[in-house]
Amino acid sequence: MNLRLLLIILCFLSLPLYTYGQEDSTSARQWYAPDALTLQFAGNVGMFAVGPNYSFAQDKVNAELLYGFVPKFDAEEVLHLLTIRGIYKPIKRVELNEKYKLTPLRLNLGLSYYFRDQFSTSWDSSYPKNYYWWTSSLRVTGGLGAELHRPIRNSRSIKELTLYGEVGTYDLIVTSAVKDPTLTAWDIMSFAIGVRAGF
Amino acid sequence: MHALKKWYSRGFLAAGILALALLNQACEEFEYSPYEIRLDDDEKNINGRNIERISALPISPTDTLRFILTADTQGFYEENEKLVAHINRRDDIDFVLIGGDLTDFGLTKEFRLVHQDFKTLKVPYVAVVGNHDAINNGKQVFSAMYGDYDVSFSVGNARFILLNTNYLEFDKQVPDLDWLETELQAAQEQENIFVISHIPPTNTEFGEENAVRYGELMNQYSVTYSLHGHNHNYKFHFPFGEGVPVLETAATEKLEYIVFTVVGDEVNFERVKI
Repeated sequence: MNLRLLLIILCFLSLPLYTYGQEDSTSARQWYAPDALTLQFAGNVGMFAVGPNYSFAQDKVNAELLYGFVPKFDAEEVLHLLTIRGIYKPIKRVELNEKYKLTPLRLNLGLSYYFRDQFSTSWDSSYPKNYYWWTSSLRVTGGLGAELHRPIRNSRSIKELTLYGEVGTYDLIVTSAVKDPTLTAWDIMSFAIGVRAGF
Repeated sequence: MHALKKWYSRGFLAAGILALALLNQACEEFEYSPYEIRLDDDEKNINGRNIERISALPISPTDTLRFILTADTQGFYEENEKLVAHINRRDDIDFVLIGGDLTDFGLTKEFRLVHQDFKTLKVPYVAVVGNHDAINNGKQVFSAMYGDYDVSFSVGNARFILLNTNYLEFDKQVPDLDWLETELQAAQEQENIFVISHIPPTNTEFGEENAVRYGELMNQYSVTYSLHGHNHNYKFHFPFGEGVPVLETAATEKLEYIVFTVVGDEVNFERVKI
């Protein structure tokens, strides 16, 4: 059941991408057509996560829907998750030279949904009230980083390539750090890197 | 201009190599999910390996056996460190038992942080699963890191039976009292039997239908002590009659632990406050 739901969502995710290729990039896009495709490594949204990126307000704000997976490693099952996230870039791009531009700061906030029976969205009614306060199928992640842009001039399909890096954390471990003062920023942070291909 | 270009590309190459070296160095600093289970070798089968060490201790049935009970290390890293340091200053302890709730959320990261403290103990430690260790995908993490939920071992003249009593988190399928009874029968030649579980039988989360039979088993097989965590406070009582004492230890947050001394069929305990 969950796997089927996952497949359906993946089909929907890939739908906007079919609109490329046939179209000339100068013509008006369909509203649902993404402005870019993002591929990320790590960052608590999967070992690899991929999905469409939508750009608003001259790229000051981005919205992304990423499908991520985590291999089994020492677990019994592979993890599949979907993350919806917003990215905010308060500072304008800086031109480094004719080839590279830098976005010095990007902030992201995401909500991940995990597709497995072991993660539930509501606790069984047999638990005493407020026994557990969080929802195990949903995790909030956040991070900050920077982007390096390189416009691609001679390609019809890709206008720009962006490399980004982030340091981030997630809700549950933040509460642990609040509870225990000896848990340092280093203990609760982790890195992510990603690329974004802009159309 | 040409020289500048060259300088740039070399700079990028150097930065790339440095980044790759860092990436390799700090692979664990790339986290894939709060729920990932990626373990180092020393983080696997901790109970299995430590039970082997305990069984190999040169303690004869007539020797004095001394062990520590603590529990609920969940998120109390500062206190855990103090507790471990305090235990390491003694040299009369044979091993340490953790009575469950190693973590708040059953995350690998939390289990790892707790293990990082407790692996520095000079003596082996063994942990029983707590209710918080069994939520999110904590069951998988606990199994990968510690091993079976129900496990037993012998040392000196005592049998230690670790029982999963997280009734709600295991869909009311635990505690496995049939397994417990088999274990108790098999332990009858031992002078002392300790049953260790996270949730005490007097809590409703133990499953009321289980509590009665648990008490009967304790009496029938003359269990020496029923040992628990979960309520975060020290409690010593006799809910099943005067034959079987039930002891709950405080969370590590309270900076105390219990030391049990076993000599023959004499068992004493002492509350140690740091």
